[in-house]
Amino acid sequence: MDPMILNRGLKLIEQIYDGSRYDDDIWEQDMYRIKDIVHCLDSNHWLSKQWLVDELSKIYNGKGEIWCAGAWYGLLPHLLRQSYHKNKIISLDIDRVTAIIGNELFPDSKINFKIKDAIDPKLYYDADVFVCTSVEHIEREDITNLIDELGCIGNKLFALQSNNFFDLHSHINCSESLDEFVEYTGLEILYKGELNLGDFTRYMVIGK
Amino acid sequence: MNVIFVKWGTKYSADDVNRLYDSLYRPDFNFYCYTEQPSGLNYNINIIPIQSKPLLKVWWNKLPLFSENFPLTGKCIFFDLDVYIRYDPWYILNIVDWNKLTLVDCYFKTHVQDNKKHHFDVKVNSSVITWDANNREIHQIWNKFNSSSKDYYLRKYAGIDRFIVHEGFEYDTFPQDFVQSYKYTHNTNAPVVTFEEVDYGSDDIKSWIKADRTNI
Repeated sequence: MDPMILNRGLKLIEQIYDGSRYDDDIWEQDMYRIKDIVHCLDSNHWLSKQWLVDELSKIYNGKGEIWCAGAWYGLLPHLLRQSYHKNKIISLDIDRVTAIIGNELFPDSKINFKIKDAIDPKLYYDADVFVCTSVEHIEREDITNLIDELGCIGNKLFALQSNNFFDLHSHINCSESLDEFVEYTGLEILYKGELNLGDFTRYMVIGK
Repeated sequence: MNVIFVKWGTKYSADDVNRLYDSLYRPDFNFYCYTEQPSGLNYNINIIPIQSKPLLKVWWNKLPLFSENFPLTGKCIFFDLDVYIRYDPWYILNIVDWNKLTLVDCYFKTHVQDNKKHHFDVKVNSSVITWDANNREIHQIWNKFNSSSKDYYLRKYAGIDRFIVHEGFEYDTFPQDFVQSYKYTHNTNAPVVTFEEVDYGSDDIKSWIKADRTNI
């Protein structure tokens, strides 16, 4: 992990603690944000997202827009920036606080944070690449709808990750296997693979 | 009066619902089960299909009961499927304040502190709930959950009790002698027994219930 990012994460935790001592509009005395920040910088997330960047960069070297759906605090857009220096990179999440934290964690990564519901296909009409590493959090119908609608518009590339970590209540769309994941996306596969992360396995598909 | 059960997934069976229905049956009440799997349910229990959106798991499916779009009006009482009815509990309907959400008072959890927003446990539970489905303040519980923060709440809170308490919704509690806890207070004489933090399906609990039925 980049020690500067770790340091910024610690500073954020300090801000949240300080905010909790007052009536703070941003942190709302919400100490769970501390845990959420720790989770977002967990080594599993770094490994999973770097894996996507490594595989995507073998397939895509264009200069188009890369849209990251459900990108939380922006770790994936940050890692994409290390390989895609010129592209416009957009980080989408429905949670308003993600942009505040993301801008604090990754101020130099030129990430365009947007607060939107990531399931609206219209958002991605200008995208070259649609990336989502949180498919397990998004209803399957919404994912297939996005692929179906965006697949009809230009030559878009999809890079998606899900997992088989069924136990979490927010994981409403896990897959039993890589094959099951690949099959329901209906993509023309350019890459597929899995990453054993100990307690669970992460699946990835890149396709059109 | 609407009597409501929620059955999601495979942890509880139709038999569990039917057994509770038999324990609570009154001919003048309407019984409902909010479920995605209605097969095997007593035909006197009205089925309300679990909504497909948003997709929720386990006990989070109790929260849509508070939606203004939930297809019931008026007075409602909910029971978890792992409660045991020892004797007629219906006197409670004349005691509760129908202008408020009413939950179980976990006064027996003396080890729990819940006065800070990040405390894990709380001193109420939703094994039994009463509310008026026409009450707009109740609808706010669902509206707040079913928002841009839904995924965050699902990560932050272990269940709906914490969500209700820590998100600041007002609630009342049942009298302490209405519900007893198998784990904490099972020597009292309440009409309703809850089984938090224990395995309701275990042989020990089946034996205890059988013996208790004999003694009543």
